[in-house]
Amino acid sequence: MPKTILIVDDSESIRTILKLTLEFKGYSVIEAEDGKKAFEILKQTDCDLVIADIVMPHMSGVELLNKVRHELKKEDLPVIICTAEENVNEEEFIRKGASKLLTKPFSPRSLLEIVDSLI
Amino acid sequence: MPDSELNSHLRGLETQMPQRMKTGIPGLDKILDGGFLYHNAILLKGPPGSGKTTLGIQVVYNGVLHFDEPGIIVLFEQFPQQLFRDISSYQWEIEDLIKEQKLTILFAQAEEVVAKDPGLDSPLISKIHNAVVETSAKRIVIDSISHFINIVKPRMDERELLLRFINSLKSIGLTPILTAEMESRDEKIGFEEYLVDCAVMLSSEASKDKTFPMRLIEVRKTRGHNHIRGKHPYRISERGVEIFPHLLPRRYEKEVSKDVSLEKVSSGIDGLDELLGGGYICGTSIIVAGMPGTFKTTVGVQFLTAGVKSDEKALLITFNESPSFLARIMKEKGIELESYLSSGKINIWHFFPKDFYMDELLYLLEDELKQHDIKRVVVDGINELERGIEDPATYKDFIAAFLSLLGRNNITSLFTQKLDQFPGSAPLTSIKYASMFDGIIFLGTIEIESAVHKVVSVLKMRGGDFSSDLREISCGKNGLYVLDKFVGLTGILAGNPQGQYKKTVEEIFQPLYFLRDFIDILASSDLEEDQRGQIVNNLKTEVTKLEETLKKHFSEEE
Repeated sequence: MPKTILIVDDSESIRTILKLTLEFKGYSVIEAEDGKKAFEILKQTDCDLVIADIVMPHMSGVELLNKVRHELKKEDLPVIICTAEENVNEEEFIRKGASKLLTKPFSPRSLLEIVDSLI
Repeated sequence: MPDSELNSHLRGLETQMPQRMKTGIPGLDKILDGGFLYHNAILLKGPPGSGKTTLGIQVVYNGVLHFDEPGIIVLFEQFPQQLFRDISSYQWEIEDLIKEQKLTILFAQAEEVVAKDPGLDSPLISKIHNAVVETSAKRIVIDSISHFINIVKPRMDERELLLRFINSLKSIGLTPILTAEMESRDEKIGFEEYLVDCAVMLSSEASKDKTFPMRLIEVRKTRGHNHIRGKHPYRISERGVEIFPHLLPRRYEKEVSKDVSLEKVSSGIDGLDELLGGGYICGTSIIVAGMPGTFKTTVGVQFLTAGVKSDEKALLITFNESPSFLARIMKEKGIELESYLSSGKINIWHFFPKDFYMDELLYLLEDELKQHDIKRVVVDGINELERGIEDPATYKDFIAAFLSLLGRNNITSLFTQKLDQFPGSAPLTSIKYASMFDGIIFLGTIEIESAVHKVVSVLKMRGGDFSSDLREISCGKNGLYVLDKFVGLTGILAGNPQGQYKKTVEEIFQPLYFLRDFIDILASSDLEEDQRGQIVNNLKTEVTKLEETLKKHFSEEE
């Protein structure tokens, strides 16, 4: 059974690119356009990995991460946090519970490498 | 009428009459807490041209016309034709009332006030007495007491004379209204003020911030009832004297906070409601601040037209653009205003603030709000109002009174404020009296990648449930709409945006990396034929999308 990845980003084009890339590698993909919707999906569905943007309406990626770790108690679920901002400190996000920080624009190849290493 | 008849007439007066003698001048009755008291002697004192005679005659005239109370006008040293000429400038029709014996006019000489024998009534009192017997008059105006006092002064004590005169009028059931000249502006309290029950001062002074002299009325003393203290502006128009009581902002604070509902009303702008946390909170007053050309007026107008769509009546107060010009500009932006104005769904006030007293405006506004059941108000150009009042403290009081008036009528209102220079990173500090308003919306322009973008941000909103994102605002075929936020940029409000423009990153570079990686994958040989076909199709789609994005980005800037 293919592994399921949840993509959380308010940009439709980013979601499309991630989906195409991941599906090409045989992953099953679920999309959510903000943290709030992603949280609802995670409550009901078992995912193997989450890729979340930081800045989104309703609930940010960091808030989602916090809820995943503390409310859903999914401490081992890999969560990749994406950001377009420069000069961000990856260690800070790791401390908050992220598995990896991905800076946009990223290479789909490097994304796949990271995903493969986490699942 | 024999004395017994007169006495029973007087007793009738005491039991039948309501205690308050309404002047029929709404503003004055408000200041007087309902009107004068019957049988109180009233003094109207002011310099020449301040309208004392007009006011006195008006109170008597209104008594006849509106309260079925016959009246008497006593004029000293005046010819009848002079009176009729003066009165002809007002919309008063006194001739018929005189014929019907509802109004009596007596022309008197100063000497007639003095009794020939101390035990008898003076000739004037006898004349007045006869008129009361004939017409059952209840109100009388004496214009003016200064005339006879000055003439009889050398011969007798003016205090005693006036007291006897007032008491004689009261004793025949009249409520005397006495006018008196004020010789100089800094005149001390005159003896006549001690003898009357109610003293009303009128003044007229040149004003720097108005196109007309500042006329002020002040009730200095009342016996037996309350009044609103302070000086209240008044105007003399063809309707006579109109008074605009000073509104006291503090009195209404409790009423405003008593019934706070958090019901929200739409801004009428796509995307802005989301920033506002659902819309403006009903009954709040919001500043919309920005430099010229940042859609301030349009934000206001769209708020009003949205109200009309949900059957709420609206009022637009504008100082700069004329209604027809404004309607034309809005039409160009795809916003229908003209038909709403002509059908009366949106009322419009277009005037020059220097032509009005601020209290007068509030008075007219309260009337307008109640009469037309208005729910939304936009004041386009609060700066113009400020220019109409030179003293900052007075301006602040005025705004406080304005806002409390809107608040207690549960009106949702927007006030546009023009900022003269770019407010920098702390726009709140450049907005005057920001703390008095429930919310602040900032509109500005920023430059990113050689293109000017208009932006909107909610800086403050009562209730706190709002987003402080800085978003782009643009005008389409159907008015304004709010776009995505500017992420990845800092220093926008400081006028120096730094960082990458996220849209460019996501819309151009991300597909580019995608294409590059997939070309590599295609180049590798270990692909099945159907996998290769799918990748080619995906690549074609992404190339088309990228081309569109690039075209959009670069053609817009040309």
